[in-house]
Amino acid sequence: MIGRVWAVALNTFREAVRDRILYLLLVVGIGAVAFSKFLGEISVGDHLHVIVNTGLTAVSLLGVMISVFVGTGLIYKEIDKRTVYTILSKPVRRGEFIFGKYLGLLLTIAVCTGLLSIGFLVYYRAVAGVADDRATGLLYWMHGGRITVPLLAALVFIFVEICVVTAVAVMFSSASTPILSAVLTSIIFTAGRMSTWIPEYIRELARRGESGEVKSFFLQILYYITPNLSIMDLRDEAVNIGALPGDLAWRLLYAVSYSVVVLLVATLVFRRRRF
Amino acid sequence: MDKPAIKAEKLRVIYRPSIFKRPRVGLEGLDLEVCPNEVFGYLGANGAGKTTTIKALVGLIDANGGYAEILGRPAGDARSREKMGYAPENPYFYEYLNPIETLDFYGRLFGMSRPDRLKRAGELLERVGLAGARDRRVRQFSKGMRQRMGLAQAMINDPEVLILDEPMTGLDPVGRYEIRQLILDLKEKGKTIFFSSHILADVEAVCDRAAVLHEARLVSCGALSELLSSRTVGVEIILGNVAPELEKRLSVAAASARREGALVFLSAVDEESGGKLLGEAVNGGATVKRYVPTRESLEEYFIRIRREADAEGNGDPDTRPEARVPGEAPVKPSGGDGEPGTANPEDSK
Amino acid sequence: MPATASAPAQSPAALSCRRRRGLGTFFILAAMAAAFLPVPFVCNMHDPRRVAGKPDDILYLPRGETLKYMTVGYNGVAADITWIRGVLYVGRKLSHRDTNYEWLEKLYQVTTDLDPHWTRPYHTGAILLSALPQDDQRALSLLSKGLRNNGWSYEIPYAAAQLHLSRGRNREALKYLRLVRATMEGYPVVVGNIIAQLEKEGQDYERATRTAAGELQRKDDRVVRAILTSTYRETIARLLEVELTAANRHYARFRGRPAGSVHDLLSLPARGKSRAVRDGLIQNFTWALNGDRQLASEVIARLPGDPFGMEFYVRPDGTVHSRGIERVELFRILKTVNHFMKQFRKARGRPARNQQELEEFVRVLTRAGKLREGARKFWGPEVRLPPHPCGPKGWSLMRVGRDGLFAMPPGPDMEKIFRSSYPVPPGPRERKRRARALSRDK
Repeated sequence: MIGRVWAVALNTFREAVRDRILYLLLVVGIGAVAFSKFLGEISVGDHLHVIVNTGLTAVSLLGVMISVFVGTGLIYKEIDKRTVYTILSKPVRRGEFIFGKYLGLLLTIAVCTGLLSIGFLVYYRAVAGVADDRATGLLYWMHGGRITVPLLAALVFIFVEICVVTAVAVMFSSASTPILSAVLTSIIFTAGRMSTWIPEYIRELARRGESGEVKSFFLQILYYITPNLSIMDLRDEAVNIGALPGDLAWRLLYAVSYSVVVLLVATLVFRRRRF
Repeated sequence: MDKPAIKAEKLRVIYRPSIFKRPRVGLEGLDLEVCPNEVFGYLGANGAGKTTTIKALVGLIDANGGYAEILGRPAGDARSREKMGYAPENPYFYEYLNPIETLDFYGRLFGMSRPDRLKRAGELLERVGLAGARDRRVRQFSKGMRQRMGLAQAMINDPEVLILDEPMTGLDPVGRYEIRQLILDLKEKGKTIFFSSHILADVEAVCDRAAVLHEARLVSCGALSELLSSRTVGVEIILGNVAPELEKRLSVAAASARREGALVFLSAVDEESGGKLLGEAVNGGATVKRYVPTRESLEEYFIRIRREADAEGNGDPDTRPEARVPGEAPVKPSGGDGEPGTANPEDSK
Repeated sequence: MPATASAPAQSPAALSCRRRRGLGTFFILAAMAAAFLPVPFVCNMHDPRRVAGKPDDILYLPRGETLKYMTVGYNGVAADITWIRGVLYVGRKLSHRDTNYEWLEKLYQVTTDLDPHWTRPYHTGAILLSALPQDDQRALSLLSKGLRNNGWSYEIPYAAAQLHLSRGRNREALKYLRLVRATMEGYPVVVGNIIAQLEKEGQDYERATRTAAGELQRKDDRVVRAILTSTYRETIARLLEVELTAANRHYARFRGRPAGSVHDLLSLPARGKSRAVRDGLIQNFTWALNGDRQLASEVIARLPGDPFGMEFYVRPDGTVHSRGIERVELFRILKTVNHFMKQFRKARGRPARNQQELEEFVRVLTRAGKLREGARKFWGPEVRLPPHPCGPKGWSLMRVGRDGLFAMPPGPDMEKIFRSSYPVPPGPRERKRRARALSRDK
């Protein structure tokens, strides 16, 4: 089974890597990181703070955009272009196909965000500290940023977050057209990043005395269903606090579980699909 | 026969494009058996259900009723596809790969090892005539090349059963000849081939058995010789050295007669009257150049079957079976792939 | 016309085809140019450089709570952007010399709502709020918010302390500085010194000594120790003054009159429940020096020597004073007084003859509004010379030199005073060394 999943993944990677939108997004990402230097200069002192924030945001957005632009069309394209015929008629299970496509896309995103991350880290360490002396116009090196473990962890968890979003994108891709999938995935992504408003709302309702059993129950279910992407945002720890939270393993487990559930839903849908 | 290679029992497929529209029957109660090491032709008009059948066998579609199996394993089960190869009608591949990479990918899906994959890929490309394009991207392939590629990927795992959906479409006559040879070669090697086609001549040329599908139902099935042998639609006699009075007598008895130069062409409706004509001609002193009982070509059979089924269904007064006049070009089959039927049945072999 | 076979003649149809194509392209380009005409025109109409200054559009910035949901979780960059907005806002206000900073606080509130753990907006924002619109209350509320959200960052209470200090609210400043020293890490090393200074200024000499001694016991760095030592000298000198004066009152109860010299004072033996003065002092100073009994003994053994290489003496009213402190204080006071003496001489062409002349001169300056705040505090509301460190009769004994400036009375010079050797609490390295030496000797 693993061999087949890997075969599909590798093929997906090969095909996705040729998608030109990837390069455009990568260029935009690099541009964002470079732009952060300008932002840093007008931020009075905390230029590294600005650069790190912008860099992390750029990597995150890059990954999510690839996930949405490429991932939502992934399976749809295969069906539309009928390349599935020769694949699903081989002894490949439908679930293996879904997981293979997912892994292949993850691999592509890993390469792209990895490249951007490395570029960002190099930039952060070396170039971020370069400034030019107004009097002489010469460049001098103030001090670059320190690459700490929390910063690396933040980058890793950005990728983990993207894994979850990609799973959602693949699920929608197996069921509907790219545009609809993109819209839905974006909505889920937005909701996921802000999912902490639901328990806050529940608490607020309780405080005001307006919470009914049924209302709270449904809100709670909504909270469980929405992917909790904010727990994978380690930016605050990396930039401001400088220490890792203790429950990283749990967060990772959450991401894996959620992705698996979503992909299994995709498999269920895909199995009933007729070609 | 011992265990059939492909078997379908009351196979039923219903299409329901949307909740609001009426469901459409794709396949109704199909009973079919394909023996091992047999070349089986699957015929039918467009929309009759050929592709539906194939997709149901291959696992692309779940049947709504009935049962089908390949090599003893239920169709739709991934394991049933381990020894099977399938070539779709218009095969599509990943555009940016070249044939070697494409076949390498398919080989991986079977768990073949890397050296095996590469060796087999090379062999297959040779076999289907794509060796010259092994480094070109599939994107740049012509239709015919894609068709060959489809065949190549179907054979990557050296399958025992090959299911081909219109394998000759898009090929030029040389290509079609090559594919026919390929099918016959495979049969030599002990493979079972099940293919659907519009090109009746090709079916006639290679198949052992054939089935005809009409509007989601199987209307006939059997060995080609059985299907056609009983239908001797006429006799063609070519005579030489015919005296004018003999000619006049014969032309009365015959269904049609004409003279071309020294030869006289006669046709009779069946073997009996043909025999009588022959006897008279010989007695009249003519030399017999040719005596050919013309069997119904598959094409004519096909058209007749359709008309009968239509008449059954519609009560259409226009569907009188028409006798074939020897020497005249047969009516082109409607809805065919554009491949004209051959003028003379003998030329199709 | 001879047919030229070199260039194949082109058919007229092809020529006109090409020409038609070229003509078509030309017309399309012309149409483009024509269609583009209104574009720069309209752009210029809306050039922001031409428009009179817009009202502050910060009015449209939603609350931080709301903005948090609009950023789709990318709060960090949003906070950076609002911070930069703040920077630009301040810049614009400064360059336009506009003093209306009404939205500055809102910007900082939004920034800190978006990224509550980023410390810079809190302390830098508070400094700017207190400096530009002089809004201390808002600055302090921003700082409290920062302290609530970031209990580990010293910069925030440090900024609060600075703010209070700059307004002269030493007590509040001291509270924050003590908080920093007690609960945080990485704060500037001078914080301990500032605390000791503040406590000394607040005349809490015991606490000040404890603080200064505590800092000396914790620090090894030479520069830091130098700063701390000078503070330590002063605080312990003051504390000794207070303790010895109290001991003298105690002496007076037993002997009927206060001791005339420190020597006498120290010779009071134990009586019943009360200890000998020397022992009592050692006890108290052990406590003041954070338990370093040995050091306390050394300090008491030095008496009547004071931390500045001079000595303690008893004044007629029974109070004990350190000559060193007096000299140091006089030195400091004279700096300011002599500055005004110089001004007097420049203004009047001759040196001031006495105290009243100088005070009158300064009153004139005050009424003219020419005194800065520090000077105003120095002269006080009634514009009088500050009390002389050596006592009420001190100013009358001061001599004015030919340069028109008060001269320091004869005595050791300041360098020597500040460099005189005196037992000082040892730092960690020194203590380790002593411990090792002790164990070796054993």
